[in-house]
Amino acid sequence: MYLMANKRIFIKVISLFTILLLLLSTSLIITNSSVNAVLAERSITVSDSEPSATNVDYNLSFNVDTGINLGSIVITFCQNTPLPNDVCNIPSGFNASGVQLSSQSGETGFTISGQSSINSIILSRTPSMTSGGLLTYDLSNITNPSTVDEYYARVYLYSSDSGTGNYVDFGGIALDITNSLGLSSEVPPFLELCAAQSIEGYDCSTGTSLYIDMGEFNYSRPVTSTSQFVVATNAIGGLIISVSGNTLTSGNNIIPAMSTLSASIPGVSQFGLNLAANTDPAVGQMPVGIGGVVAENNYDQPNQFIFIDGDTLANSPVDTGFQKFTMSYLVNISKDQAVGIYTTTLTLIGLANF
Amino acid sequence: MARIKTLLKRSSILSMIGLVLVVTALVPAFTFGTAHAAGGMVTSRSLTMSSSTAGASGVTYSIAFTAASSYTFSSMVIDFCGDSPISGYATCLNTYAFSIGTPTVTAFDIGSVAITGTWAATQLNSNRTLVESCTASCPAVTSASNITLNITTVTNPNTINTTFYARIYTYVTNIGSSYTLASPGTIQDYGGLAMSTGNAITITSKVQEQLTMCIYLHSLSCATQSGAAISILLGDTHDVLSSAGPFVDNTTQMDVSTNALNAATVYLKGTTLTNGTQTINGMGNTAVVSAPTTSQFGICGWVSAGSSGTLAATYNSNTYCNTTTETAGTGATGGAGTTPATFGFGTNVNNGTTGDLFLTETAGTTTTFRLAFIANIAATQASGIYTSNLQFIGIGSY
Repeated sequence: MYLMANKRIFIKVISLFTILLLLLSTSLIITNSSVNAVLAERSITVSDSEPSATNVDYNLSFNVDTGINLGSIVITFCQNTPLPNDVCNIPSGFNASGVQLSSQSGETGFTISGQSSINSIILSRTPSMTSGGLLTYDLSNITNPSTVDEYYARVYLYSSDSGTGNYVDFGGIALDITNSLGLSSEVPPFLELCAAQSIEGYDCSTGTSLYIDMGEFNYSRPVTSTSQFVVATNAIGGLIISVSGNTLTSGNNIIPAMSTLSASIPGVSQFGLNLAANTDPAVGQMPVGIGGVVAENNYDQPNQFIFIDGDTLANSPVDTGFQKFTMSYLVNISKDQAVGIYTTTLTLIGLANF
Repeated sequence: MARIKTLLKRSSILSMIGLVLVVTALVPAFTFGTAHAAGGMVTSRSLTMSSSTAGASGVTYSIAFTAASSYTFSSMVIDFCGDSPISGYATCLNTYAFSIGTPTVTAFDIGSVAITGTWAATQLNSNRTLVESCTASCPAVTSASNITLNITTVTNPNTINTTFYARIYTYVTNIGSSYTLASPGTIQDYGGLAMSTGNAITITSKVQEQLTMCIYLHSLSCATQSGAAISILLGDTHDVLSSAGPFVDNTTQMDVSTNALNAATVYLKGTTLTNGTQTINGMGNTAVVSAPTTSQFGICGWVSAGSSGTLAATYNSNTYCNTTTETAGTGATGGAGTTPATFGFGTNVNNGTTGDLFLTETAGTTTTFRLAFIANIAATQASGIYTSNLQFIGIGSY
């Protein structure tokens, strides 16, 4: 009988314990089921997706329902999963300890809580009811994870202002760290300068002879001839085209170079050139092309000629497209100009400033 | 002692129930209780429940059996019992609130053809028993006739993991409401069925948010690239650009996949080809074709696999990007497409916070995007080493 009575007490205790356990289980289930819907249209826009990038902006946005007592938002960054109740592994290299809340919209009044950690940002305010709609929070000064991989943000909404208690809403977000794509190429220094008796268009390969035969000089009229040069460069400091050489000579005899700007004077020995379209005598043409090279003042005056060894003929202060100049040569001789074959070699020098 | 007797008594009852269950499994084939059948036991009998959840209502019971004899099929009784399927068994307990409701019978067929005659479904015994009665033009059945019907108004027994039974009787006459356990009438064919409610199994699994991007050389795989940086050299065999024509590189591709409910977007962020203060102009928001002798840098792309992704118009406006060919590093120029492809480089690439919208990927299978980069220079493009650092930033909206 004593054993039977003890058995009855034991059964009652077990029954009571079972009932309590069931009630406890029920309350736990009710507690968990109090979690509300998943946050809708949630996303994080990052300003930089490179590994270990610093001072990165993370712009968080999501929709919230009306009538939620909202006191804090916790954004936790995890390497392994966005699921709310799983263990969170901190992404390697991620650092939000210096995070700043740059802007906020929708539900406002939040500040960064001092309880935030290296991977968990707590936005805190005095709890108040939400009005519903889109919320955005711009979180700046974050250092990205150091490895190229997917990582996750868990966004929890709490009624408390400290990110404690049961969260009332939740949403996970996946993010990616990717290497940037590097492109490189080289633009070589470029200076094109070619000269010939004539050049088609701007194509240096079409240049004709480099020798000019001016024929027989005559004291009663000027003798003229032309050559052309094409120039272009990508030198950002532009270029200078200069001419180097002597006046026409024949042994010890010379036809004097025109050392000052002067018109053609038949009967006076003179040798000069310019880059203009002249009418007296009729020779030459104005520069053509898309470039910005301009002839020097001494050499761009129609019907005015000059030649000084080493003079700058033309220049451009910046890079320039193709441009073609026509050099007009003028020779006059006096009656007593010594007989002979007069020659000269002129060299055009292009100097680009890269 | 009294308790011991009680326990012994309970044990006896349990033993008897156990015995009955065993008998239930064995006996129906040859035992007929108090009633007598003119035909035989229906064969190929079955009952399929649309739900086995205890207490579920509106459940459909699909019943099928093959007649055991040839006769004029004039009525049928299906009696649902908690204690035994044996025809003629003295009791038919309904202790678990089973109900056929106000019975609705559908798909009443013989050999997959709607049954002929005028039939009506009624209930007896407080919704425990279905009676199907034919009042006119009753059909003939043979021993090979397959009879099927659905009862759509059933409420299951309200206790989980409970076995219960159905007793099937057919008649040559219309039994109507005169059926009782004690006097079931002159039965033609008969048969028993066993069913059970089940404990509902709740399966929970988790699907986490996912956005996967991988940029790699198309000669490799995403896994082989393994996160290593990609460097593209855009130019001739010495990586030098020329005004003689474009150089195109289309060796890069990108895999994107997501389960984002509101799709994922990938933005392009960075700079155009730059050397100090010198730049090769981006080709702009409106995609244009290659123009040699004009300084320009641009990108286009095409979907090489998958169907969930779409490139922004700036980067695939005329869809001919897939005709581009690789000329970078080959010594040849060109490659801008047999039908000239258009390239773009949006102004937001280096102005916006996140860059310029490059593509959109909806939830689904992985999309592979192939990318082509192009550069031309004018003769006057300042010399130097030009570089561009481009990021692809993925944003999922869940």
